[in-house]
Amino acid sequence: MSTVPSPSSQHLPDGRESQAGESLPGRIVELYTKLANHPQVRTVALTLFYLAILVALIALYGKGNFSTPPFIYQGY
Amino acid sequence: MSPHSHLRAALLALLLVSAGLAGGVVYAGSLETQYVHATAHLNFLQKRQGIALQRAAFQQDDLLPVYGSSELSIRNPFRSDIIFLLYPTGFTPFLVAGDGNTPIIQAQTMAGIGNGLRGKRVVVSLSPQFFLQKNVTLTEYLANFSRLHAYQFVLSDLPMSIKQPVAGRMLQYPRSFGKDDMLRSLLHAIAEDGPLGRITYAILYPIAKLQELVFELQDHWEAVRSIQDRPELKSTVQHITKPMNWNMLAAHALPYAQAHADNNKFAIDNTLWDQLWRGLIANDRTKVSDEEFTRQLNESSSFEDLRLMVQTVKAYGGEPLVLSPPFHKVYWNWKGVSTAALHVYADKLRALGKEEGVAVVVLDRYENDKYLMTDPGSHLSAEGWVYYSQAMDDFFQGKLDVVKQ
Repeated sequence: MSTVPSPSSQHLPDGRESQAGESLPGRIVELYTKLANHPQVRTVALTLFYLAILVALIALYGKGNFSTPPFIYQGY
Repeated sequence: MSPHSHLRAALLALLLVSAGLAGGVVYAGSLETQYVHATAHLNFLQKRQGIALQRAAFQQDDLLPVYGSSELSIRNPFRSDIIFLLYPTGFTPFLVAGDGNTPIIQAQTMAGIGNGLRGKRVVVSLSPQFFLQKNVTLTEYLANFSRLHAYQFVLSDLPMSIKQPVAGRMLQYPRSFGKDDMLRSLLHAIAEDGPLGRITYAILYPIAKLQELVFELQDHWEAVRSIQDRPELKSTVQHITKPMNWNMLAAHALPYAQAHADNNKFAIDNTLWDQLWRGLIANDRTKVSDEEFTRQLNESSSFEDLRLMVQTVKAYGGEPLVLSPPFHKVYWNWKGVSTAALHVYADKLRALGKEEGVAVVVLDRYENDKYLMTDPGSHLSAEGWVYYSQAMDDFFQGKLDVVKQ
């Protein structure tokens, strides 16, 4: 008798099947794996990653310091 | 998956950030232009230590940039910004005041303005007492030094005849660049101007330009914040054209100055007298001879600093006016210096003006008027401000004859 996959099951890249009733971490891993293998999603994610780094660097070091020590003329 | 996906994403992120920064600069520039008139009479850090607002001011035909020290920041109802509040003769002064701001610092600032000076007039207000110092003190220098201006100076295309001596002077204040080894190396490279120096300069130039760009972005950011922190600023200004009656203004200013300086024989402002000068003069037992006074003037580096500063302005096609009150005659006569010796200052300034072909106005024709200044620190009285303003107006209208000054 042939085994027919149930409609709620999906093939994972390693050949295992994920069932609809699988735990939440497992589903997250599954989703991540699917997205990571999608070239456009991967490009967007990487771009956002580098963008976040650049924005963080600007936020950390972007503020200038133009202050000067005070001066009162005392040469009289 | 492409092996270059990280590179592609990083470049895309860099492109997005660059576009964002470029958009920010355009926004900042438009805000600075919109509010530059409203900041013309204000004195705040970013205005003098940055460059964005100053450059915006030079782009306006109805603003006359005026650089100076504390005399520009002390309040007076007859100060030039009040007299020209409504642009009666077509302009108002854009005041850039830093306590102890001297020509060697102003030379760096002018290099920062750069090509923005072309065809523009600029006033430099001097305080005579700074010309009695052999050298600008470290505290004066540090209080007005800007790394942004310093980078703009070292990276400028000024001729070496100006850059070299200015760099040499800047190297006399090593604390100003502190741990900034790149700035130090660039200054040494310029000051020495040998083959090794030129190679060093060429190697450092690209990274120094990047540093300059970072400073300029920070300056735009801070300038925008300075504007946004002042919600009272209005982007529109009122212009009311009206002929100036200088004699009438002086006639009103004199009694005001007299009424505020009637508790001492030096005609020093009453409050300043009570707070400072009474004590200083009571404890001052030192007399100064004419020889000592003229020796100090002759040994002061400030005259050569001033020459370098006006040369910088001229190199970029700007037209400077050197404006100064005379020494406080009553005080210096009391110190033992003759009136003839006091004239050496004005003589030296005028000689420098003739050599450099720039206008010099010293208000020494009013030296016998003891109410011209509020104190011996060259702070102008109400009456002094009227004469100062008249000189600014003559300069702005092109009425000053350089040869006759």
